Amino acid sequence: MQSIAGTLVIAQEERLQLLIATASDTSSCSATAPPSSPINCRRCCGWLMMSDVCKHCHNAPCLEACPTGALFRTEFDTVVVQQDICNGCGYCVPACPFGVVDISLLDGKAHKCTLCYDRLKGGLEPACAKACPTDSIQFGEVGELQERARRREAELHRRGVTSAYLYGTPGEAGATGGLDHLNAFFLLTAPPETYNLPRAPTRQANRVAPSLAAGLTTLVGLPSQPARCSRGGCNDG
Amino acid sequence: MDKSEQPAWDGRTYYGKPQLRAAPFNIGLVGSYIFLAGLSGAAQLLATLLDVAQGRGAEATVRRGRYLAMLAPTVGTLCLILDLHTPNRFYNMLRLVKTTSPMSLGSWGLIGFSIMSSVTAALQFVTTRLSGSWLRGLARIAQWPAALGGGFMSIYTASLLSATSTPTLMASARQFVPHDRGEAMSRKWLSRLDIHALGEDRMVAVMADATLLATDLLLSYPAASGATAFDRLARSSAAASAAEAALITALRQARFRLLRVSCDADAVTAYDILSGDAVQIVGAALPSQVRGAALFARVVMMATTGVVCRARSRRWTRQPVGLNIIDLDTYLNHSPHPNLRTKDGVRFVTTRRVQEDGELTVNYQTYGARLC
Repeated sequence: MQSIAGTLVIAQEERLQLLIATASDTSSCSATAPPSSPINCRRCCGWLMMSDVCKHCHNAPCLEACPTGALFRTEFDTVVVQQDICNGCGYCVPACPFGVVDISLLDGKAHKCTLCYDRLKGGLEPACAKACPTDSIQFGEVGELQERARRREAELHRRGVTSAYLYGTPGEAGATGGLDHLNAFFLLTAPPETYNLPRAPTRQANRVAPSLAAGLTTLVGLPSQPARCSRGGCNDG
Repeated sequence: MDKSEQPAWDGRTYYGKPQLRAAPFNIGLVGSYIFLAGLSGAAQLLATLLDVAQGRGAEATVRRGRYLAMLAPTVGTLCLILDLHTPNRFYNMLRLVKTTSPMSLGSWGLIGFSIMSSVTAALQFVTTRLSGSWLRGLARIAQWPAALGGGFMSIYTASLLSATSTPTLMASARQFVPHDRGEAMSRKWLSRLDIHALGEDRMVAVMADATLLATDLLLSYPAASGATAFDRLARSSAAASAAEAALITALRQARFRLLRVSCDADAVTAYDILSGDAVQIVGAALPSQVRGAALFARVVMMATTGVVCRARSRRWTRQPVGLNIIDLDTYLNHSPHPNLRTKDGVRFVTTRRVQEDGELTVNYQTYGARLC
């Protein structure tokens, strides 16, 4: 489970400008705008697309929260819901820090992106990566993609796009709070919130021990109350 | 927001859409269960303690406690099963034990509590009918594991809620546990000092300094929801008088500033080095050696009077020997839209172009997570 991976890089950077140029007729920006001025472009139009792909976190909160074991980790290091086991408790929904997984009210089971588990089994790449005409979504082995993304980031910095950064690679934004790294990660040029990504997602499992300890402390601390009361001389019969 | 006027994309959020999905729980059912679990668990626990403490004297109360403890196993369990979106598969909860999932732990806890409580309640029922039965002794044994389960039932529901990514709920997980950030910070400062070389009065001053600044940072440290202690104070004191409200507002806007203390002998005035504002420091007795010195201080600006309250981090009482090491991470202001990011709290990288004279800000949450 260490090296294999279904993984995506979504390169939002200059594709964004192409999208903007096609979407807006009133704008002063064009597809030929220099790469260093995405901010100006955003002010005038505002058309941004973000894939709601499951991040397939290394330490996946939904998987860790799932009480039935319906969510499992595949041989491709991706996270998939087994529909024949899920009982629709919905605990994975608030566990996901990215707002990806949800319950279907039609069949009462949790659903999310599987990174096309069936296609991967058949040796094909995920449909989104296959279909994307601009190669904004790329698929490959995680390590190799991370290398490619770092080179791309450095290249963009060199060209003056200093706002470019990686989201979800080890130690970077998005891979915080014990998530380690995201198997679907991003190359972005605006703050994470712009793309509806949390700045510092965390693992829900971090909070199991502290919250239980807090409850236990309270429980153990309670019996000291009546003792103090009796010393104070109050008499409740 | 009105549906008809969909927000134009303004670059700060993604079309105003929430980042998280709402938990698909039925509030009535899950709320009822949480209430019943706490009630039953506590009833069983108290009945057992009372039975041990007072024996026969509290027989009636113990009996009611044991019956009350049957609410969670019966009505509570029914609520939980009804809340499932595929209720006929409720037994899948018992496929495995997962310590990272409070819901898995809770399922097993509920099963254990239900079995032991049922046994205790049944024995109690029989004992009440056939007085003086030897079954009473058996009930007194069975009540112990039931009470343990009761203790678990009364506390685990808090974990169930806080072990999610819902901001308000996840912030509450840490409400009772000591904030390690403040402690870590005080320790870091104190470890830099050569305690033995300091006089006693100097040492006390340094300790007071470290404590003050750590406390102050903790108060201004945003919780997972993004709200600081001052924000919560403001929310809870909506009916405060105008003067108090102004003070709370000023506290919320307190920021680190780089000040230069004036050289005048009589009036203590400081100048904000960046903005050039003259600020008057209220109620501070400055030692003479800081005149003319630059200092970092977290200052509270009172808008109405134009006077700065006492600088909260009394940095200047530290030993004025050599260069005082400045921890960059400690003296950067928090911002939800920062222009710096860091991996370790030591090295900082800008995330976007910074204007000349612009302030460098960080998001405390991003590297605070490392400590938590």
